[in-house]
Amino acid sequence: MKILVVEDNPELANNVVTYLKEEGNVCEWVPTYSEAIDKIVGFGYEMLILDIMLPDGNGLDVIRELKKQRTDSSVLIISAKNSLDDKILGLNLGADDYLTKPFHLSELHARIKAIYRRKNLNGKQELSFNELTINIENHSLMVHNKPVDLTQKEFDLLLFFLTNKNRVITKQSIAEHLWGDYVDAYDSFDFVYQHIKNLRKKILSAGGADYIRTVYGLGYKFMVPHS
Amino acid sequence: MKLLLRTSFYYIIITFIVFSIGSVILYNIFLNEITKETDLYLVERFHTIINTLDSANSPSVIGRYKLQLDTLNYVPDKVGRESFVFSDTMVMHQYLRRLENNRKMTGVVMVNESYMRLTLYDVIVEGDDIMDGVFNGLWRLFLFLGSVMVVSSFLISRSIFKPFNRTLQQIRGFNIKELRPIRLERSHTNEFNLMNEFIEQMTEKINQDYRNLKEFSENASHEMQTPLSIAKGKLELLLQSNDLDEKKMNMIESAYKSIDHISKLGSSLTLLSRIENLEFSERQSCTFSDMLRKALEDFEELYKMKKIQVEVDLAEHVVVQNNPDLLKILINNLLNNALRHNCTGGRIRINLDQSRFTITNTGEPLQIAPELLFERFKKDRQSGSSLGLGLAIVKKICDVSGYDIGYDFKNGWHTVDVKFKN
Repeated sequence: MKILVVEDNPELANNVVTYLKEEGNVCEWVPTYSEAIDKIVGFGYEMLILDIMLPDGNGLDVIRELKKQRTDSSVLIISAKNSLDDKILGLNLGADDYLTKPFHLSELHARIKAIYRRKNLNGKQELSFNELTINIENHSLMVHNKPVDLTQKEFDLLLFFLTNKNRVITKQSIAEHLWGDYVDAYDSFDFVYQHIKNLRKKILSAGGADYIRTVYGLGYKFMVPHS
Repeated sequence: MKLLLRTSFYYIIITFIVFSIGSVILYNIFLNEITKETDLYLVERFHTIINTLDSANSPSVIGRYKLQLDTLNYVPDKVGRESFVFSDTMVMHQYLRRLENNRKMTGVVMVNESYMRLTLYDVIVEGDDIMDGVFNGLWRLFLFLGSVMVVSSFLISRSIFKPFNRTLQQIRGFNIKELRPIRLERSHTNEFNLMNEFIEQMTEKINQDYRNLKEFSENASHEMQTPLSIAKGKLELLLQSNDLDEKKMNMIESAYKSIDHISKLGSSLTLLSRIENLEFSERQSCTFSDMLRKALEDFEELYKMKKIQVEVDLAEHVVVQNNPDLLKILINNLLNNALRHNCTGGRIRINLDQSRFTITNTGEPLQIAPELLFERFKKDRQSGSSLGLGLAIVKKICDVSGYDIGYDFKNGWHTVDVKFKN
């Protein structure tokens, strides 16, 4: 995917760009509003990761410009300001999602993938990985073409892993992905563990491989076996 | 006691002392004055009698009323004016048949070539009578003065202290969070004006300091997020490298956890100050019962995983006027609280009716004073994981919504009770 990161903080942008590049995306970075405008006018991007507070302008204006260009680029807003107004305004202007700083890079990636799927897999809401096939529309999993019954949380968890394959995903980011801000992440580590245990068991008993590894009590990794 | 009543009370005491001393002085003055007048009168009578004697040449013409005439058979040292002697004496009263105070005057006169001593009496006003008069007069005066003072102090205080009372009222209505300094009216009293000026300056300073402090903490917790975001991202990237052993991983984890903690702290503090700043003041009709039911659905699996038995008794259509975001936070924090501080296999009871929301859970007794429970950073167990802000946020939401919140611990059950005001 071709992604443009519009973020005035170089270090933060560097984190995002590094992570996204490792996931096999083509990623470019601009720190200002004017450079962002130049870029979107000149080149087509599938995805814009946009900070609202820019030194020379408002990120929301970038969305307006984007819509004027009639491109079908997706927009993911990242903002330090946890303001509902900005969120609603951004989404109304045509942004696809909104993420508040600080965020987990794995969460950012999951959101990008989700937007991508919504836009590009029209009709075919299916994701396959080896013997696993998941249907995003009706939240179902097939292992070796046999349906496996998953709870909503287990499904979310599997999808989160599949979008961040071969990555160490911390327990915090999993907890926040599953329960949002409301449940204190540290309290829910046990719950994360239980969900993962159940998910693993279900896949294994359906004849699937054991993909999920524990990483030193720190998090988990969805291992892609080297074939 | 009112200030003016108090001062008039002291004035009355002082007046009483002054009146007491005054009565003695008054008594003496009266007594002196009366004696002087009686003496003058006796002298006058004396002269009249002498004149009468001179012209009549016989002592018999003057009668015997209140006088005594003795013939002297010796030659006295002094005659006439020089021989006058005044003294007090007691004389039997003709009608009252009792001894009365009298003023006596003796003098020697020469009548028909012989010396005679003339003694004159007259009834004088007694000291007792003067005392009575003075006392009677003064206590009436004292009573009159006292009542006038009390009544007038009430009347005067009403007008003089009007600006003072207005100032008091304003101070009472002063709220540091409203960021509105007190503006007071001028009065005709210098002291009040000075006080008002001082209060105005003081509240302005208080507001300014408060605003600065608030802005600082807001900006600080906001500005924190970007660097924390960077650090968090770096660690997350570092985690992806393949050459990490368990020791390094654990170090990264611990750093990651701490950063996560600070950043959560920052956003919770920001949330607190946003609630305080009434940024969630937009109110609408919210169906509390539906919101609670929805939240309970989200929490259901968490409760189940901790083997917690939940009893729910919800009234239908409990509608409150509030901001939906605030209510959501309130509900979530309380449900989360009942989960976190519960024991595995514990119980939770949730009750909702039109006027109150009660959540009760089993759990270890508190180790902090219950009144500190809603304070910031007052965690029951000083464990690293909890922020210690959840209930502070709940309390703040109740404060801005005008709800009453209470906590109680009985027989191993913790109860948090939120009363909606209609």
